[in-house]
Amino acid sequence: MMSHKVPIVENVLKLNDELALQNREVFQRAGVFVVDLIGSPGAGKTSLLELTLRELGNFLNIGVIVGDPATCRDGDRLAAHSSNIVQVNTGTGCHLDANQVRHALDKLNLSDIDLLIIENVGNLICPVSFNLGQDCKVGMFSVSEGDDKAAKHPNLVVSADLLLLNKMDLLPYIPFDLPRFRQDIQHLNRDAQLLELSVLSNQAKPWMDWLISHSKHDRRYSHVSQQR
Amino acid sequence: MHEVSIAESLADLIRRHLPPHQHLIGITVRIGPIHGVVPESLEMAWNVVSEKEGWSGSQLHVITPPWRLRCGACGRCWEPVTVDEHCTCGSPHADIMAGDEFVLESIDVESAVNCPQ
Ligand SMILES: Nc1nc2c(ncn2[C@@H]2O[C@H](COP(=O)(O)OP(=O)(O)OP(=O)(O)O)[C@@H](O)[C@H]2O)c(=O)[nH]1
Ligand SMILES: [Mg+2]
Ligand SMILES: [Zn+2]
Ligand SMILES: [Zn+2]
Repeated sequence: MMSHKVPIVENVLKLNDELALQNREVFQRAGVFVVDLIGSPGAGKTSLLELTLRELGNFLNIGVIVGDPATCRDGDRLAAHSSNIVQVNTGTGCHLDANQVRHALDKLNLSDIDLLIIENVGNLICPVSFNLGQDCKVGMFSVSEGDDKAAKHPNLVVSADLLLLNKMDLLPYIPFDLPRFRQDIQHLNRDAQLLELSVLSNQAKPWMDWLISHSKHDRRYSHVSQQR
Repeated sequence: MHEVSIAESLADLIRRHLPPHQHLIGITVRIGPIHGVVPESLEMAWNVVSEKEGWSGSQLHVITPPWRLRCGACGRCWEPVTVDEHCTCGSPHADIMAGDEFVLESIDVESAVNCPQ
């Protein structure tokens, strides 16, 4: 039997990218600013979103899609602060993909939402490869994970638009070389800002400011493009 | 599990490209280091996924291209060992030119029917 090679040269994540593009069009038409929040398990993603809903819920209409392998625990925590929460269970899947987000959107009324935050499955590797249609990727680390996590996960750092370091309240108790951590991030991604937070002590103002300035900016832009 | 979902994405793509009446006997994939894929794990995942698709025995070839950086200060291009390597001019700022590709390069096929020769 004769065998032969068929050249393909096609992006493997093409299907996901196509769906992400469709999501993106939906977001832009609705004038929603969308953040993909990526961090390891327990970095404080849901805690940050609880605080965000408490602090910004009166100024911005915020929706959240939260992905976890199992349980509705994060979704339930967030539902105490907003009705625009969708929990997605990924089972053995280690990340959200664009198709899961597309289906989750059926359960949200985007015209009621200014800002959509997608809490990805706790994982520093896989979510980096799967675009969801977001405007910005935000990478979250925390002091208790150790100061080498940015350097060990360069892929997240280089592809993030914003980086967060949470649990700053633990600095006095844990050996954590903060200058070194900052330097690792600088080396990998000189364009990304690093915000240092302690969600537990309600210290997250730079994050709130970042969200306000970005979602307002985007909404104004979408009004302009609708008029044209 | 990362590798399983990647193997499934590969299968999706191959289904679209596999010519009719052809057996899949191998595939070649180019995966940049940004995707954090371990070739051995992908091979294991591919064995599982390809069997489900009816392509059991098909060989997976992984090409891992190197990172390629361009220095933001002096413009030099080089292939670093790790993505955070500094330029020889001392500048830590570099742009990633390659290392994020994720491409199905080719598939190897053979006729499913024996031609009487
Ligand atoms: N010390 C300290 N603990 C925090 C801080 N923020 C969150 N935590 C705690 O960290 C633990 C994990 O927080 P979560 O918000 O559930 O983390 P997550 O990133 O959503 O976790 P997964 O969804 O499971 O990936 C909880 O016990 C929080 O109370 C902080 O700023 N300081
Ligand atoms: Mg959570
Ligand atoms: Zn994974
Ligand atoms: Zn240089």
